[in-house]
Amino acid sequence: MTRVVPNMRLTMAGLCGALALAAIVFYLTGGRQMTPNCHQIEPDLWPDLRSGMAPEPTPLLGRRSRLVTLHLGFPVRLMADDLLYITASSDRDDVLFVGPAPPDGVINLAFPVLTATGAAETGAAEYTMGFQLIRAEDRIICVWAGEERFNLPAEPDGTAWRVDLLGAAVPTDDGGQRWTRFSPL
Amino acid sequence: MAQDGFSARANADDDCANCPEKTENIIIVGSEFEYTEAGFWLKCMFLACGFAVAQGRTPPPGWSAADRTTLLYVPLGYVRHELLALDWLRDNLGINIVRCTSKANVLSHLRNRKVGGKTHKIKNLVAFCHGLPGYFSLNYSGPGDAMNIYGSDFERLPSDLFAPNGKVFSYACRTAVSTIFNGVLGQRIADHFGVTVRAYHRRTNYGAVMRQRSSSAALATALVAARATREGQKIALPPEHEAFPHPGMGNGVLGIWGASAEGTADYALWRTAGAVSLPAEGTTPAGEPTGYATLTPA
Repeated sequence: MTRVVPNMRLTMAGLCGALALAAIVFYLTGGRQMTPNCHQIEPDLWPDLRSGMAPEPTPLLGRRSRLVTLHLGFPVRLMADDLLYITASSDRDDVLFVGPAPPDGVINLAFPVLTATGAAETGAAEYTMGFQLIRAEDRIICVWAGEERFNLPAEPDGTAWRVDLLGAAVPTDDGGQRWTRFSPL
Repeated sequence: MAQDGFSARANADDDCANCPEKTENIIIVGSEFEYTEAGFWLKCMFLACGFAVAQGRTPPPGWSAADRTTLLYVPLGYVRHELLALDWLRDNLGINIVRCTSKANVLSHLRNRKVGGKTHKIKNLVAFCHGLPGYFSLNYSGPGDAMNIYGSDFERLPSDLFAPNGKVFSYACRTAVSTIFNGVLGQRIADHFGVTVRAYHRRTNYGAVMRQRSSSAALATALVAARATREGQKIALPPEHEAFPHPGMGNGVLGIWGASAEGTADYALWRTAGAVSLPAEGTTPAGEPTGYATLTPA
């Protein structure tokens, strides 16, 4: 036992050192060590790609909406000019947010209430969410959009959520994979 | 008095009233960003399927030739080496290749049926792309517009775009599944256009379209050996595969596991003739019905 304890201390010190070094590298690279869902776009595709993204949220045009607060946790370090683009797919695609990524990750979104069976009365709905972080300077877009099912319970529940945007996809219960974890607050 | 069909008074150069209309087969190839770690094996899965069908290899069940074939592709996520296969189709087989960076591009091609002044009805349409219950997702998990195409998008197109006995083959995941808000994508297409639609309730498995799984180890070993002297170049993997340099493919978070350990990172597998076979039915969700469903107009 007396030999094991110093070895463990040495191992722990080594691990701490490695972590500290990784943190320093991450800081010095300005967060450019991106996750696997971050893609650098070819220059000739960039204009087409950006023009295909709505410049502002989809107008509600009289549809009822629910205000929901998301507390986003990013696996990459945000830069000053990063833009955030959030979509919700249901019976159509709705762009919920286009704008600077909030440094504290807190964002209020108006979810359109769906008109199909019962939803209009209760406000309950299921969306497939999409989150994109746009770093125009480097033509990099990080995407958290797989099977990001988000079940919004009937009102008045479900007004605030923590959303972890993950650095790697995780399997879903039914055999798919997703890049986000939603937890009610 | 006007008559249907041929007339003794008709000029020899007149269009005949009852000539069968020209037809077009349409192949949709989506983009692929979903399989980050298995990218070498799966990056070109949609492209290879479309490439094979365009050549008349691995036709979907009931597929038949048309006067014209068009391949619509989403360029995002592919590198030039990979897309050269489409140039080959255009230059050697006269396939009409259409680059689509928005769903409007796709829907516009479906809508516009005139080619050289002649109407071309759609005879067969096949989709090799991702899907979720209720919609095709041509740029699923990709940057930019997801290019989701819903039943309602098809329903906004004229209902007479297809030829009699027109067929749609969906190799996207779960497009025969019923949803609360979107119904069944395949059924909505069948009803609107009066066509037969084939689609899966479960996810679609593309795992064996690029190669027989039993050859995976040999392909990886050959690639690793060739990279020792030809890193960054296109590498032949005889007898029937190639590996295209694709920077960033399968690098993982820090590039130290997965495809990196396998030696396939930064490359994508290509099969010279295109897909070995059509995609197959997957195993999930286990509760969904099995089989390649046939959906006919209600």
